Amino acid sequence: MSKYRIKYERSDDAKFISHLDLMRTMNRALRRAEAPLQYTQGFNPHSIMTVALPLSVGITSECEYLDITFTEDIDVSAFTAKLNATMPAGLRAIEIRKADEMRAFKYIETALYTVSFESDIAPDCDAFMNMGKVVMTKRTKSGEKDEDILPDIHSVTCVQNGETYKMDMRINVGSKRNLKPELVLAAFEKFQNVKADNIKIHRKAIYFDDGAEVF
Amino acid sequence: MNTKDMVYKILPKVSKPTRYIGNEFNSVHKNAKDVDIRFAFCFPDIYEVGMSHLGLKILYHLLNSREDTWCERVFAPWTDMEDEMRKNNIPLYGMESFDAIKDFDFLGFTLQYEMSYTNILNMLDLAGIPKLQKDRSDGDPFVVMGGPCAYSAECLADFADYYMLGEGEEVMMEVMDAYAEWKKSGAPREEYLRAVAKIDGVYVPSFYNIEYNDDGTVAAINTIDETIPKTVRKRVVENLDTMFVPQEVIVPYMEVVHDRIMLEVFRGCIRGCRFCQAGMIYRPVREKSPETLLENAKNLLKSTGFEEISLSSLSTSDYRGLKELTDELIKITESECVNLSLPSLRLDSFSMDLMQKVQKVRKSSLTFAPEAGTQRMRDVINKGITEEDLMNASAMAFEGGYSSIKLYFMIGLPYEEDEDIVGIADLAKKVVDQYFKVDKDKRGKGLRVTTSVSSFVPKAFTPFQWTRQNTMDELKVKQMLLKDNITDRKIKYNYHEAPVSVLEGVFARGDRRLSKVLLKAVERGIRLDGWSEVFDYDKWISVFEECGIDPFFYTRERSFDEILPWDMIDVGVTKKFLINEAKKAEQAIVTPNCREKCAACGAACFKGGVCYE
Repeated sequence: MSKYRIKYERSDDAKFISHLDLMRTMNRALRRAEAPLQYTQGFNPHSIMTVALPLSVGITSECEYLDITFTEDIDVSAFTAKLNATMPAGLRAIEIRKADEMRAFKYIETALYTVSFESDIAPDCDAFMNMGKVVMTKRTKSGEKDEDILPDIHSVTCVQNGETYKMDMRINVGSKRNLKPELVLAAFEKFQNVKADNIKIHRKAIYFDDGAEVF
Repeated sequence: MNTKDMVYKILPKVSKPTRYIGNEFNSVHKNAKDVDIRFAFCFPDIYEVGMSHLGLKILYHLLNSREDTWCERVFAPWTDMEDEMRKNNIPLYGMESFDAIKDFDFLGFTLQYEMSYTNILNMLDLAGIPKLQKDRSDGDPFVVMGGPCAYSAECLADFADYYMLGEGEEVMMEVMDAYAEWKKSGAPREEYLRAVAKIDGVYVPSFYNIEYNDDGTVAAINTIDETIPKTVRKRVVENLDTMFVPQEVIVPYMEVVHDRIMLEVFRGCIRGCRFCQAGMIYRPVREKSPETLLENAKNLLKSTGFEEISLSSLSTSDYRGLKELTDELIKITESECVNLSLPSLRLDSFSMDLMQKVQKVRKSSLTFAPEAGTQRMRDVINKGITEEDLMNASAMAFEGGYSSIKLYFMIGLPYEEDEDIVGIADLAKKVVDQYFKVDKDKRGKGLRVTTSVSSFVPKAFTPFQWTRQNTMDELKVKQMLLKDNITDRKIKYNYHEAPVSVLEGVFARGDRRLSKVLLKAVERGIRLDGWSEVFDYDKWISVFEECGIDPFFYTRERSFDEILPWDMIDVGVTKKFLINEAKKAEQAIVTPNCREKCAACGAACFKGGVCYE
């Protein structure tokens, strides 16, 4: 048995696929690519698959990770080509590495997002980061609660390109602390009156708690 | 902004956005400039229903096998998407190209159930295409229809350019060839309709005039001239082993109703249950060989990656190659970790052997369809099974470790008495008793007997096409009678809403005058009638009132000599046979199945299948 980590991108054509549907879609693509999938025992055998950080519907990404267990070792570059030949539009494997020795996804701590949008008012990132406290209403499983989101924002910068703004934000994600890029944008609207239109959110990188990118 | 950008902009606001984006694996993309014919295969219901339909898969890939044609898919949007589309002026588009379907050459609607008819008109409305056939002109697409309801869809006659009757694999190619020729010729629109009217299986409703008697019944069906055939006979494919079958199918992102590979093992049914329209209109039985099916199964598994495969037909246990097929199929499914599912097995040929084979991979619930609660009633409907059959089958199932059984029944059948209703409860209770007779260590845990009861709707081309349909009040009384008689907590009782069944019955045996009711209904915002959260019976009744049409005229009893609105259609099975069957039903006399003894139903005219075995 060998564990492999697949890094793949999800572009516009695949951004509306929900997390569960994406798992099924990837599983079927792996089957079409004749991957040597290891199955669980029992009456309902299924492949052994873990996804790093489920991506919300509507967000694109160039850094999705999926761990999958194979019954045997594979030729990584040949398999990458084979898999990509059978992936649906909008999904593409970037790189596959053997993952037996790699750190588990539970150690993921931050992610870098690029949010592009149109706005009449320019966001002031420095002023935002110096607010001391940014209290927003967070929706959780147990209901709504007000929380200071600033401790979860590591950095936020913004460049203007015509009418479009491009905001890079590195924020906490994962099982310990989790912030959504949409909420950061909502905070800019609340405190700086930035009414963003035509919003596009893209995930650029995911990092472990030691600051290293997954790969 | 192009349509795709506009759609992508509104999708974050709607539920299940992958219903509307296309691009699934194995969907077919062509360059619009490279083709002569743009065909929109329209399924008049939402994506997850339509994508489960085998006919769509076959015809989509068949049409796309033509170099001159690009077939795309179109489904009815759910209410939230429809609202957004209307608000943003987004026309109904083909899922592959995002091009507006009003610019296509064809809209092809499949008629699978009557309660989808309003969706057809609503889709035409969303597309911006004139709904009435007479209002369409040069530049508008041809609106064509097919599917099992097309044999008696007179209520859609004002909207359809033509119907294709029967199996589409051959006739579809012929009407496309005729179109390519017509398009080149530059002749007027009617010339194309005249050309296809000459093709077997094509019924052009505007070439037929209907006269009515004072009492509202049909007085005469006249063709507009001598060149138009008096009756149109359905098409069948003679040899299923050589016909077109897709070796790849679209793999949806979302979980659709039947999210698996479907292997069609045969067409038709030998049984002749008198309530069953499918059992009559798909005759004669024609089987595929196990070799063809295995080859197809291997190719489909490879090209789709699906993790489940099911056998599909009207009565799978009647397939003569079942043992050979499942023996081989089980080898493949085991080695590739694929689940094999066998839907609706018949009690009398149910084998322990097959059940054991299937559960090696996964155990699920078993479904039986006794249809009626007493032996007399089962003889009336010609469902040739006994209580003993059901008891033996359920005992075997429980001994094999199953603990969940679903039972399907109907109420509102002809010649039904209260004791037949109570008989349903008794039968379900006896199945429960079978479970407790099995050794505790052998049987599965958590017994559940689900009793699903639907209301009988008389359908055209069946021996019960002359029968009076039960009223809503009658059905409700029967539903409650049954409910009161089910006392065991292990039995779960489900029943269909009576109002939907009543309306289904109106359109199932309707005539052309119902076209204006459908038109008015859609104007009033009625659609998605198959969905209980949308269906609005009172609104429907007010539409009938507004149109001055009594819906219950269509659910009344008819005499054998009345001209029926669908008498211009010939399905092979003769009226003489159906009348004879109706008379036998009254006396509860059973007719043997096709393999026991030919009943001379008329389907032998198609020169193939079981009639010549």
